[in-house]
Amino acid sequence: MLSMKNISRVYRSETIQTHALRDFSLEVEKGEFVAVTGPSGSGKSTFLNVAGLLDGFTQGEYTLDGTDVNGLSDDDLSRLRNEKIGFIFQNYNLIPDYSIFDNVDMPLRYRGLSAKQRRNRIEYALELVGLASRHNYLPSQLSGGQQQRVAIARALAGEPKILLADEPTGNLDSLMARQIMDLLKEINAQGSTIIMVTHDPDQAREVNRNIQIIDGQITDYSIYAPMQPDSSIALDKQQPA
Amino acid sequence: MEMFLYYIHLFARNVKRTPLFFALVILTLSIGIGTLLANLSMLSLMSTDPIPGKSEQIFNVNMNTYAGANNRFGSMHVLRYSDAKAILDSKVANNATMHYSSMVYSRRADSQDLTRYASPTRATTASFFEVMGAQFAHGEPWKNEHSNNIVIGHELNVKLFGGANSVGEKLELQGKIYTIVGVLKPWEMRPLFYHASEGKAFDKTDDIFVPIEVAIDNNWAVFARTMSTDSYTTLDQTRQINAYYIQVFVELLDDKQHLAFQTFIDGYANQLKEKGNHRHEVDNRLYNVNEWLDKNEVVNKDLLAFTIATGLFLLVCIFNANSLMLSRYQASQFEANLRRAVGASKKQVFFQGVVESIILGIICALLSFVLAFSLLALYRQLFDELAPVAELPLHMLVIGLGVALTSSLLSTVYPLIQGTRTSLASILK
Repeated sequence: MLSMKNISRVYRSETIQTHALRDFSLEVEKGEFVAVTGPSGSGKSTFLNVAGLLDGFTQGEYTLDGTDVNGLSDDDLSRLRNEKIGFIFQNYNLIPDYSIFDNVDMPLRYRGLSAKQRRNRIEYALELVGLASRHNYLPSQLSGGQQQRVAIARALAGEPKILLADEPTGNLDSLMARQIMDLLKEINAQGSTIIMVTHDPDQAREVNRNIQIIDGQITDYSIYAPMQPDSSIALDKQQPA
Repeated sequence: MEMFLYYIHLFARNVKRTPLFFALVILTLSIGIGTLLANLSMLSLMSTDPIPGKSEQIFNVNMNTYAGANNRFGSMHVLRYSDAKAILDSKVANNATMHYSSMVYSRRADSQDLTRYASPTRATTASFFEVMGAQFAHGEPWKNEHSNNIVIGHELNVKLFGGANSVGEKLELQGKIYTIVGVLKPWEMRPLFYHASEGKAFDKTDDIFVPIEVAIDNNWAVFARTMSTDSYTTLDQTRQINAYYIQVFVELLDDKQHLAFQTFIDGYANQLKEKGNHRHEVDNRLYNVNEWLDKNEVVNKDLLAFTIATGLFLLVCIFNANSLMLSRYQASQFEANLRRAVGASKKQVFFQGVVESIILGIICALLSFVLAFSLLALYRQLFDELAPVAELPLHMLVIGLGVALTSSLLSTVYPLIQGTRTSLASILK
């Protein structure tokens, strides 16, 4: 699903060079749930940004769902982000004056789907996260956990190949964090590939595999729950058109 | 198409989100555009070619025939009757006409109503209509320059005859009966180049056209610049004296005709000089239509300067709008980056901004039309000399729309480019 080989990401200023990722290699299989941990400034977010095509890389090879992303145009990268990647941010990143429905609708607008297709997908995604009855609510009318559920619904509505979550429970209390974690595990159980950056070692232990990054390099792999070969069920096969 | 409609929808949401901001941008640009448009419209009307296709071939004839000792005037556009007649009789030019401006009171001869209408009148020759490009709706010019036959304009024909074919009808002018032999089609000439002097360049075309010989014989007063070094009591005495009130226009089709005419008039003036009838040095000048309009400063220089100033003012407005837009795009950077993160390309985000800019431009254009109309109405009230041209012609509306769209795009493009250059990763967390 995701293959990075010897990826480096160097930030250059006039006086210094910072190696956010160095010689970074990682393979993530379809249907895997991978946690990424590491101290602040270790390169977790840079990895997630590169993986999510939000940021480029200085050298190396990166293949996402069979597509070599190196040298792709902005149009192609945007299409890849839209069709293959779902983002879940720590701050939810919902547009405050858009309804829940409109927030979830946003990525679908750039997919070229009909209004009916979009509606079906949005309703399905909101039902999946337990917010089917709150189409017209504004984000400010929801709790933090519910807002994150909306963000997850937005990510799922596009039927992505992989979900990238950057500390999705970082802003939530423990009860809500638990609920979100359960939701992500449920989504993963339905066949979605998830890579999640987290500071929480307990959460990291709940997934298939945990990788630890320090100074832009993977320093440790821990396999907690190997994937079952037959557990992958494509999410898009369960959703209405 | 669906994305285009979506962008319109997003624009509406953005306006709803920050109405004050949009009001400020729209007002800033509209004031700049409206002011420029009002001045540009007047300038455009002033500098319009009044007779396209012929403006390089029709010339106003100026001669230095002033008979007084102290010649402060130089070569003059008002000629003596004898000189004007000599030019027409020479047949050197392809076509020629002479005229002076008058004003008579007119009424239908068969009307029971004794109301008389003050009618601007042109005392001229039958060739006038062909030289000036006036079209006939009914009838034709008079054939006899000494007959009591006249041509009337469309407006007077509507006023007196309800717009019907009035050829053969009779008018009472200054107590005498004249027969209508021709009625002109609606005729608008701006600037009125055949009488661009004495601030008449934006008068309407005349109501009545009468043979100049008849007008002189009947002592119809001259309503324009008149000079004389000899005394006279009636106009018919001016045919042989130094009275200057007739304008002459000649039609010269090419350089050869121009040279031939210049040679003729110089020769004619030298003959006069030899006879002692041309006191000062020979100085005959020919001005084509545009040169003649320039010489008479039909385009108001103050207005020109003011229009340039309003153009600069619009630039300042664009800079202000640009600055406002830049701050807005910075403020909405989060949303733009979020859209890109979830699948919008830079082109799509840019195009969204362009659509927003086009809609803004259209709104600005509409508002600027209202402002320009209001400003022109104010000009009509405040400045008499600008009143005839204080109008917003249709082509200026199109230009105004173009200026508004360009201004709006100029205000938006730089902030948009800046916006799409921002790193996605730096904004989203």
